[in-house]
Amino acid sequence: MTKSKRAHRRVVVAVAGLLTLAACSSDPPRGETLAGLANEAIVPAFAQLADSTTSLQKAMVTLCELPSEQNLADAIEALAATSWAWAYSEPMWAGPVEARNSYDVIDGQLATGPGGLGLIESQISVNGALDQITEPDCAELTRVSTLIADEADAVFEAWTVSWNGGAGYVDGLATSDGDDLDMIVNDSLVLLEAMADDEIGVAVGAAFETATLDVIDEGPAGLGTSDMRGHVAGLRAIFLGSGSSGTGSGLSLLLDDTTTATLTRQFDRAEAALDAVGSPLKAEIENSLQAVGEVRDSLIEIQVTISTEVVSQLGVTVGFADADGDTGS
Amino acid sequence: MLTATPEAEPAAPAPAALEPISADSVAFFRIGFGLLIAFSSFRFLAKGWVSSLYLEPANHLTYPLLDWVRPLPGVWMHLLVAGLGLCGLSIAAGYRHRLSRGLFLVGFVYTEAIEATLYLNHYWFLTVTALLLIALPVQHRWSMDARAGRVVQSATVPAITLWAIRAQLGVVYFFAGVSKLNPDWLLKAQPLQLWLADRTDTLIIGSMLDAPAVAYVASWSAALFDLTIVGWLLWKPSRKWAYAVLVIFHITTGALFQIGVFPWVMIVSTLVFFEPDWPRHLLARWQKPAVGKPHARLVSGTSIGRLATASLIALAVVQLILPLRHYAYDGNVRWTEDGYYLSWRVMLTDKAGFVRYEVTDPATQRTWEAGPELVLTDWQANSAATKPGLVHATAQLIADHYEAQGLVRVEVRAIAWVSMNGGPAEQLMDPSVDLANSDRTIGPSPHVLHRSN
Repeated sequence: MTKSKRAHRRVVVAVAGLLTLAACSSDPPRGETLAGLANEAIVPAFAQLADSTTSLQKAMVTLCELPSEQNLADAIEALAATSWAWAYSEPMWAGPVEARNSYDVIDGQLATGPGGLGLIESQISVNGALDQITEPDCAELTRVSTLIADEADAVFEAWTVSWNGGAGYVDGLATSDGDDLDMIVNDSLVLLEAMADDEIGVAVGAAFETATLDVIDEGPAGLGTSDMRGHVAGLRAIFLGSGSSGTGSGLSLLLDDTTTATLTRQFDRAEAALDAVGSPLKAEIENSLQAVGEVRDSLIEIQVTISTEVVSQLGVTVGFADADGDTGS
Repeated sequence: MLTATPEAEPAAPAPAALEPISADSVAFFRIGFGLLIAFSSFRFLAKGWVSSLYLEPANHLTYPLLDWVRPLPGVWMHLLVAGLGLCGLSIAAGYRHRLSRGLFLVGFVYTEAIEATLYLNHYWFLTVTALLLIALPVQHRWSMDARAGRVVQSATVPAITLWAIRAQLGVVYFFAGVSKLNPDWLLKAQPLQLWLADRTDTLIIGSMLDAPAVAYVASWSAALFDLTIVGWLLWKPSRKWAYAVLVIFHITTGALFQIGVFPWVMIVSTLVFFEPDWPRHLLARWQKPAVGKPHARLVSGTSIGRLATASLIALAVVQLILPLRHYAYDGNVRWTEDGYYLSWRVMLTDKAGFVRYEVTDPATQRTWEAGPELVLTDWQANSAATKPGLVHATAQLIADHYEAQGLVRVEVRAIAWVSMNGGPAEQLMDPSVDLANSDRTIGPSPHVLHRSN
């Protein structure tokens, strides 16, 4: 055999070796996991939001056409379902929701007061709402609920049908360069911090500022606890999947078994803690401090695991890091 | 201008270390070093890092004993970094060599001392190399000082000049290799397994980077590379191949990780392992031989004084002690970070942390919580969360913050959790210790909780 042939043979052997190594991967590729996450958790979440906002819009029309206690109760129920679906989707706002600023339409704050869902809540959840809702109010409620439903439909379409002139956003996740994963995990951490520190933490006096209930994001319908349940359920779907068992999919496919088990236990604890807290949340903070404290502790526990083990195993960049680094940590 | 010189009188044989060798290689090293400093400084300015990393943070995390170091105000900090770039150009040109190297060293050390979260091993390399260049006669060839007659123009340097630079590079690779000889790196391929899996979008090789076997091959190869590359570079038959591997290694790591100019620093610096006159041979390939004009002869025009020799010995001793000092401390250096700085622990450990502080006002006994964001930017807080010394420093900044608000010196305790190489999160600091009123030391921190696994 000539030198040249031997060299070629070595190259072939090296390439074959590398291909064999590539085939040895035990975990699913990240893009595949993200696409799975989108199809199993994110797209269903926005489908649910689109459905609930459509129901809310119909309930508003029905209430305005036929004002009755029953139709008002149906409208309030539709509002609660929409608020929950919106809260559930919050850890999934990376992508179309953030790009479109959908929260301005769905749950924004206007100069004159709450907009979107908050505006509807402030109209239909107050005592004697049936007597207070005027014809112009009805027109406004119908208009706002229609805008919300249209926006939720647009977000769902952006995920599934068309995004920026191309295929749905879900298709882009499979070839994502990691930014989407970073955003999803960062958004999750921001949400956990908002619940545990900015809201409950300040309300129960864990912060330097004087304790106040004003920081609790809860309107007259008293949906604060329900919204937190929605947030935790959405977070669980992101990290552990949304199947019946709640484990075995989501980002846990990229995590080791120990971390998955830890997160499962911690989400179970948070859900149980939230189940022990009634509504409205503001009243529970005043009357059941221990139960609310347990909710906070359980959320911080999840925050710790995501900030440490999950961030490390997924290679996520927390916050914005621009400078060079050659130390690794 | 270098000219042909008559044969020198036979002299007594010099010790091997002082034997004259061609100054070409060390002159090229000086030029490359200066240009890389200039590039690094101007890149720092262009990226807006002077503002975002030095001027915008309200507080800085400093090294123990250097709490007094503060950034210069506004435009002066920009001018300082620009000045470092100009020093680099001056070093490359060999212009006012003592002044340019001295100013660079002082300015660079000051800049690095401002913010400990920005510690980089290759900045330490630039620092010790600048120190080395002050002691070595590298300005006698291809320099403006030599042309202007401010220093003796010489085609040779004592052999120790080249060997000191080679030894410096050897220290970097050797200790980087030794630090990789740990169970995580060798038996679990961590943290490369985590990092490579996050680089699957890399062109061509990306699809195979999340295979554990690739991480194992890469981990063992990197350790072997660091431990042996200097030997391969020194051995003439393997030198060219070793350098080719070195270039591929550094370009690959540069493409995979955001490590700044480090790959280029090493690619340029390691050319000193070639023959001392390699630049002349390289130039000869491109230049036509000058007809009738004799080649310049090597003249032993430079030497190394006693002070410089003593400095080199001291530097060598320090360089051997610093990377090894962690053996004198309890615990795993990768976890405690006691003896971590200045020890060539390059891209060795992945850590992610979470920290919050419990603050107690001793006057009222009221306790509340505070996050590091109270006194730090996000990037400072993220980096500091995994480093015991910086968790400690942050606690003191928080106490300063409340003191400035009119409270008495509060007590601050850290609830810090860290995951190392993706493992289970463990508490990093003793949560019972009031860090605000506990001195920081350059030795091991007594408040670090040791890892259970």
